[in-house]
Amino acid sequence: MAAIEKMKVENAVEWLSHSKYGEHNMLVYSSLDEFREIYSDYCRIALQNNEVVLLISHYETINAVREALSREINVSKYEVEGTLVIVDTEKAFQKSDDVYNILLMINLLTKRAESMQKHGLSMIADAGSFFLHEKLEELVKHELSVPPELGIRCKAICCYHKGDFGSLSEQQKKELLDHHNRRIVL
Amino acid sequence: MADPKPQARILIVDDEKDIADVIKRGLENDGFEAVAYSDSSQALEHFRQNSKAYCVVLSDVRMPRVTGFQLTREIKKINPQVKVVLMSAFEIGKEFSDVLPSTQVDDFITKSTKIINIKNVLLKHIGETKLLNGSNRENES
Repeated sequence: MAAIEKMKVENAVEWLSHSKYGEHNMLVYSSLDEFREIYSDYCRIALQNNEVVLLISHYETINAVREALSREINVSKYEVEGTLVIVDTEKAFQKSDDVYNILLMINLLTKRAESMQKHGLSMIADAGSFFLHEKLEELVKHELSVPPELGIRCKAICCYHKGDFGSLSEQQKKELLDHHNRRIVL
Repeated sequence: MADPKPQARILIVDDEKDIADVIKRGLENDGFEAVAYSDSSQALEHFRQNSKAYCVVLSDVRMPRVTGFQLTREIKKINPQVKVVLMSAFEIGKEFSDVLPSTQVDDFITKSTKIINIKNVLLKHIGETKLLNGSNRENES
C-alpha cells in the first residue's frame, strides 16, 4: 500500500499550500474542528498567493463555512471578484450529462484563473456526499477516473473524515490511497 | 393549570456537540428527559443497550461514520416502534430520493427551527408511542 504521511494540522496546511499544480492529493481528517482549521488557513494562503479557490463542503452549510472563513479573510470581497467559490457537496457531486459538476467546475475555474492572470486553481473538497448516499463503489470509480496528475493548473485535495474513510473496505482504502499523488492523515 | 410535563426520553444525535447540547438543554427545560451524543456510532451502541428506554430519536442527517439514514435503519431494526425524526441544516430535497425508499423516517425538521417547533414535532410522535414505551420502561433492567 502507498506510504501515508502523518502530520499535524499546521504542517499539513504548509504542505498542502506548497503542493504543485496538477497534483491530485488526499487528506484524512479526524474532526470537523480540525478540517475547519485546515480549510481556513489553506484558503487564506491560496488567496494571498494569487490563486482561485474552490471549496466544497459537506458537514457544514455554506453560511457556516463563510462564517469560519471570515475570521481569516474578507469572504464577500473574494466571492464577488470570483476568486473564492464555496459549494455544497450535493451540488458538486450531482451529474450533468453523466459528468460530475465538480469536474465541470474545476475546468471552468481553471480557465477563470488563467483569464484573471492568477497562478491557478486550488480545490479542496470533502467526499462526504458519497457516504451519505451510500455510493462507495461510485466514489472509488470516480476517484480512479481522476488521474494522480491532472495535467492542468489545478491542485486538488480530496478530503475524508476519518470515520467515513474507516467505513470503506480494506480494498477500497487501498485503491484510494494507491491512486492519489500524495496522502496525508491527521 | 400548568401544562403537564411530557413523560418521554429522547435520544439526540448530532456530530456538532454544541448543537446536541443546546437541543438537550432546550428539551430538558420543557420537561423531557434527553440524552445527547455527538458520535453516531456511540449513540447507536447506546441505543442497542437501551432500546426500550426511548420514545423518539432526534438525529442529524450528515454525520461521519454512521449517517442519519444508516442510524434510522438500525434503530428501526432494533425497535421498530421508536420514532425517528431527522433534522438537517440543509434542504431535504430530491437528492435524498435514492436513500429514503429504504429508510423509514417519521419526520423531518430543519435545524434552524425554534426549540418549541422541535418540541411540538416530538410531542406529535410521543403521542403515538408513550404508553407503549412507558410500560416498557418499567420493565427496563
